[in-house]
Amino acid sequence: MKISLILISILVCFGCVSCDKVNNPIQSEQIIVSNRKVLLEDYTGHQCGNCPNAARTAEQLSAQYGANLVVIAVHAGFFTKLNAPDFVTSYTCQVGNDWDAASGGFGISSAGNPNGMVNRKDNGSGLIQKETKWGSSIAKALQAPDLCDMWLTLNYNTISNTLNTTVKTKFKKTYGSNTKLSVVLTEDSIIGPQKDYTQNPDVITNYVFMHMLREGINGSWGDPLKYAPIKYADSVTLSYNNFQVNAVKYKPNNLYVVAFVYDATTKEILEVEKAKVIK
Amino acid sequence: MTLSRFFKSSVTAAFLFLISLKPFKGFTQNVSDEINSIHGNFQIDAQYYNADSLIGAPKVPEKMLSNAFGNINYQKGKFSAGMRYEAYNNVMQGFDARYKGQGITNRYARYQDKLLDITIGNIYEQFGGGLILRTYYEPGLLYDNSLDGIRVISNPYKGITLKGLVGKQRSFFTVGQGIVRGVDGEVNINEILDSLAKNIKTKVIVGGSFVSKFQIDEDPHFNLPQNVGAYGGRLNVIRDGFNFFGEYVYKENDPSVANASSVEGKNYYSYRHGEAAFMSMSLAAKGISFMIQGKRVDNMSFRSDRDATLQNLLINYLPATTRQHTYLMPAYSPYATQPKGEVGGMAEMQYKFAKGTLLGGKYGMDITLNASMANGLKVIGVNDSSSYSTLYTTNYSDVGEQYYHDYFIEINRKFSKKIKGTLMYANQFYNKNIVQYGSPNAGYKNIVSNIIVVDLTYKYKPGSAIRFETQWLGRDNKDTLNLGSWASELIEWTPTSNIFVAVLDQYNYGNPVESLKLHYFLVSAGYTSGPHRISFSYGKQRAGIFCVGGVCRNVPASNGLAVSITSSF
Repeated sequence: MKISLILISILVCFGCVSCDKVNNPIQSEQIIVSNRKVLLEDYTGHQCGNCPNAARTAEQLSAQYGANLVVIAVHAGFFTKLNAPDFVTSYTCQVGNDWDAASGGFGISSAGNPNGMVNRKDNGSGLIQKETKWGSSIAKALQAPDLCDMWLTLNYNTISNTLNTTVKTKFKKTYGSNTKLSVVLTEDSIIGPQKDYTQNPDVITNYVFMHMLREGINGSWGDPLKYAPIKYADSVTLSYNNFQVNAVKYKPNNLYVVAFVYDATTKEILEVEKAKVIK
Repeated sequence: MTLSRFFKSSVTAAFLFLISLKPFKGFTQNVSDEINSIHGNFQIDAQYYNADSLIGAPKVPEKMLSNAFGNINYQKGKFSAGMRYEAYNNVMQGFDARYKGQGITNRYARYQDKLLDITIGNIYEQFGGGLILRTYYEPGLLYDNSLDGIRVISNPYKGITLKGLVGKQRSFFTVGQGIVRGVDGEVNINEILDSLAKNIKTKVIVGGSFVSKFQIDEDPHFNLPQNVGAYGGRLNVIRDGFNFFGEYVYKENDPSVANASSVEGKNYYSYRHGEAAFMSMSLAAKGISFMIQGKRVDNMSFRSDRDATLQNLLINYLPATTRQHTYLMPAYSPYATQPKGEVGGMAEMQYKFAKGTLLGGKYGMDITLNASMANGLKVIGVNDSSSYSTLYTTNYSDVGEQYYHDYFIEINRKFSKKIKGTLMYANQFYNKNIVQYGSPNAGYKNIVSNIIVVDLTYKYKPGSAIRFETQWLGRDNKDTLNLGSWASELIEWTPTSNIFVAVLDQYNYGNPVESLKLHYFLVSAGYTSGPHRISFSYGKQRAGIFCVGGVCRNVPASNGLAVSITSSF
């Protein structure tokens, strides 16, 4: 009996002190100085009424972290389906569908929308993260060691609507896994209908979509960049020339190229860079 | 080391451990004398999927998907141990893809004597009615919020039970970030007052709990409470056919994704407290019984990870005070408690017309009258997002918009030695915006359904029967956002007690879109032999949407062949 009472007493004491009352919820803004850039992927859909909340979070974070944060809005899954009269334009693409797939991809929409990933890394509560988690994951990612530098050079031909992309990478540390490079096209300021459950009526007809994933320049999973072992100062340059941009579907002035280096095994993103197609 | 890595590395250890128990008779002559029991069960569900654009069944790259698990439990005297292996190759449609792969997802060892009961490993536990803590496993829903840790239960004195536990909750093939700690005490007053217990018919049991979770605060914008505590008490009074149970739980500030709100385009957590109250009272006498239940829930999504959604990492359980129907059409729009805020209740009366009376006839007749409803709380906004950030408040006396109601009458009657039947009528109200999408602005209309069920069983010889079931669900067929009315027919033949064959047709004859007035045929058959059961079904199943806490997941329609095998030993 003594043993059980001692054990229970320990747990009672342990439990009773375990409660924090917070009277000052808002933190003073912290400034993180970092050379790193972090990729936030927001998986969304125009019929997902909870998704604009997540998009607003992405915009707030984007404003806070500036060039240190690159956002891609991936339209994929059930909530991208088309329904007349409002939802008649598809914003999905093959790359987004492959990334979202339950089989071979990250299975984001099977876990529900909105959801996202920060650098495709599990920061302790899973790879797939709700928007309330993005801020802390980005802050953590920005403070991680900087693995490599990236330089993006774009050359867009406004007559033929072709795009030449050159990605130069230089490793700043040794790395023990194979790496890959993905290069994709995103577009800002697309106007169309979006469900938003914070609004009444719930369909916003002139919603402004930002950071929308449009196409893969080198497929859904990119190309091998550098095989392990990777040494300090190893440098690789990959070029993708004469990529045909669909200037009818997209507005070239609103297009960006996002390139990211990732671990071929874990798929964790190691570095990301973004550049405007037409400056 | 993550638990998934531990699970994988522990496969060999667990296997060696079970082998070392020598549970098989062939090992040595006297092993069977040493072993009290070894038991377990297996279940395999697999489906071959056909794409069907009409019903929205997607193409499945693997063609076939399967969910499987097996439990093995061993007991010897005061010691018991067990494990569960789960395999998803890949997980079936409609479930979270984070269930991927296979491994040992549950293992425990327990020692139990009169004074002490200690468990290490995965723990299933409930404090009181579960408002503050309940961990359980429901394989059909792939729900498992078990605590991986340690639990101590003690009975220091007759009638007193003390429990303490600490651990992390299962999350797919790993564990969640948060740590859960809890203590619970229950006193059976009659057992303590031993001499009185013999004379007093009224039994009184009181209990109290404290549960706390810890999760590190890494948020760059908010000061989040790393330790969130909840505490509550309960009372149970029993006398003859009377039973009263009441429980109240209060939760300290618990900002989480479940109570986050958008204020002027910015997302804020609510630092408001949470509370839940539940009561149930029943009275039973010969041939008649009454039951009433009521509850009020306010900001009571209690999870070990403040960013978890849907059914992940829930610490507590908020019971639905509505009837969970088993017939298809009354269960078409099921209701689940809204943890953000709800006030609801249910009243039920069951009466048995005695044999030989006018309504009872030769065999008697049972009638059930049930009424349940749920409303939201009337929320009053508080403009404090830049200070205390409670964001809203509520009044006990105010009730918000209606979420659900279900009024039904069910009559069960045996007409002859061979024929018995069930007749049911239900009227249901379903606030689709809230129940499915968690928002009053989701754009759907409320659905009012009238439902009739007729179920007749003709038992033509012992162990052999034919069952006919016809159901109708009438709804507004002009509402293009919903699917309109349905009719359902079922014929089930049980030639012997261990075989069944059934044909089901669900016909969406009231779909407002002409081309979607579809039949959903499903043919099924099954065979049972002792502890083994195998069943097949082929046909179409409807799609659905599942939303909790601002996250929605699609359960797609499917068309194909499904196989289910269950076995226990």
